[in-house]
Amino acid sequence: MGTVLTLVRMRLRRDRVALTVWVLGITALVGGASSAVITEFGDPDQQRQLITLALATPALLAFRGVPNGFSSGSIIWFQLFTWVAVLIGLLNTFLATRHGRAEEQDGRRELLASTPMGRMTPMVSTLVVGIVVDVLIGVLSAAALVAVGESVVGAVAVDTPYGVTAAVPRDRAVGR
Amino acid sequence: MSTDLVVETRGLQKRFGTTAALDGIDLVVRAGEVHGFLGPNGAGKSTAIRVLLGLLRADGGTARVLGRDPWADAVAVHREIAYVPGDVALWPTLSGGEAIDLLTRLRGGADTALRERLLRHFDLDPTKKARSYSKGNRQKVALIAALARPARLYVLDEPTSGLDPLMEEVFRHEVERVRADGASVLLSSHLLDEVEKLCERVTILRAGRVVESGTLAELRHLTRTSFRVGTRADPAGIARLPGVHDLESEPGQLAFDVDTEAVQQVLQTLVVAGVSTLTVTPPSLESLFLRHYGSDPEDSSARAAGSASRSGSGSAP
Repeated sequence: MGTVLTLVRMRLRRDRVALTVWVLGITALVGGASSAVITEFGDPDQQRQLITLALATPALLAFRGVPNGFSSGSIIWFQLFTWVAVLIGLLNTFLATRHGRAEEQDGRRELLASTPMGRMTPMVSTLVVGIVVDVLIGVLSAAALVAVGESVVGAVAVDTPYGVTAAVPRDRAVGR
Repeated sequence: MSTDLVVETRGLQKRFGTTAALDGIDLVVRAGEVHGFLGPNGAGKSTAIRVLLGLLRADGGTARVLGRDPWADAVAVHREIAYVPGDVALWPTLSGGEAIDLLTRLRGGADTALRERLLRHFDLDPTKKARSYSKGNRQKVALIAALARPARLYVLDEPTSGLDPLMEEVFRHEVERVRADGASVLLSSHLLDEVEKLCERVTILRAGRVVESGTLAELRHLTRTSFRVGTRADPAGIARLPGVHDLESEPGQLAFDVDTEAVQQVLQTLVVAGVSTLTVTPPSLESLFLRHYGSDPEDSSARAAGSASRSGSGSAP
């Protein structure tokens, strides 16, 4: 367990700039875009129009899923979720590759692998880092949604799938 | 489980696709010795070392490191090993000091005083980011990380590549120190003179097979010295001297190799004849191999088979 923690700390330290930019960037995007959606589709008529239009466009539905009702929360979800999910997916893929395959390719893994640690330890610590980052993004984006006026329950409901979606490419990339 | 043998392999084999990287390696490192692991590039030195560290699984043969199976028991083996890879890559956004701390912490923590002294002697600035380090400085980081905590076995894969002569001297001093403390060292190199300065026993690898193994005295026949002399001496007279080989003459210029024990007599003869220029070089490992074993690895392994390892497979290299 000690070696996992040591490696987790090393990875966070190594990526301290990149991960901060990713996390804050995604949070800012969620906050900014949500408040833009609320401004643009503020009144229920506009929201109804948008949803009706979307429902008539299968291509839109294929990419974004079926909207769930007419509230501003569901409009935000409908407009934002795919894009943010893709971003988080990329973040996790890059993270897993950077600490996985790239380490092996460049020979850095050899330095670590010659120390007393289990063969799975680097992978486990990469997973831990990914989960920590995803949870952090979830918490911060939920806070951003609450800040622009959404309910706490709605914000958590929106952000939990972010974390879950993120897990898929990350685990794929880690497990190779 | 013999405590006397730190490393012991029998008929070790590893193939990558159709290439046999290791084709029946017998390697023995005794406790408390500095063992030279020589061979030209691509001979299989690093592959053998990776098997000994449990980073690769052998396809055949047996390997024991510190009395254990390095693949099945990797963590236990690693507790007592310090390793410097041949090509050190570091984390670009971490400083050299952070990399050293990370690697020593993973091994259980550095000896702080030792770490400070190594940093000073190797003249390394640990505060710089690794991306700004030269190859030699990256090498120093790995060396300091390996040497800053006592180990029973130091596995060093071409550790001096990229180091300047001054740092090579520091490195040699450190190897002497860990040997004096009772540790064993497996030192791979393609430089014969480096191995000559440090090692008691040597194993020479070529194309995945052991072609020579023994003490340096036993391998003395390998260490001829190359002479290139501007002289009016009679070429035939020089060629007749015992211990002179491969003489080539141009007008006013002679080139030949001399066995170590014959150097004195050759020099005396040359001095009498008059010398205008003189270049003396230790033979490179490559030229040794070319001369001693022929350029064809198949031929060399056939010739070496009598004295060295035996491999069961008759497959092509």
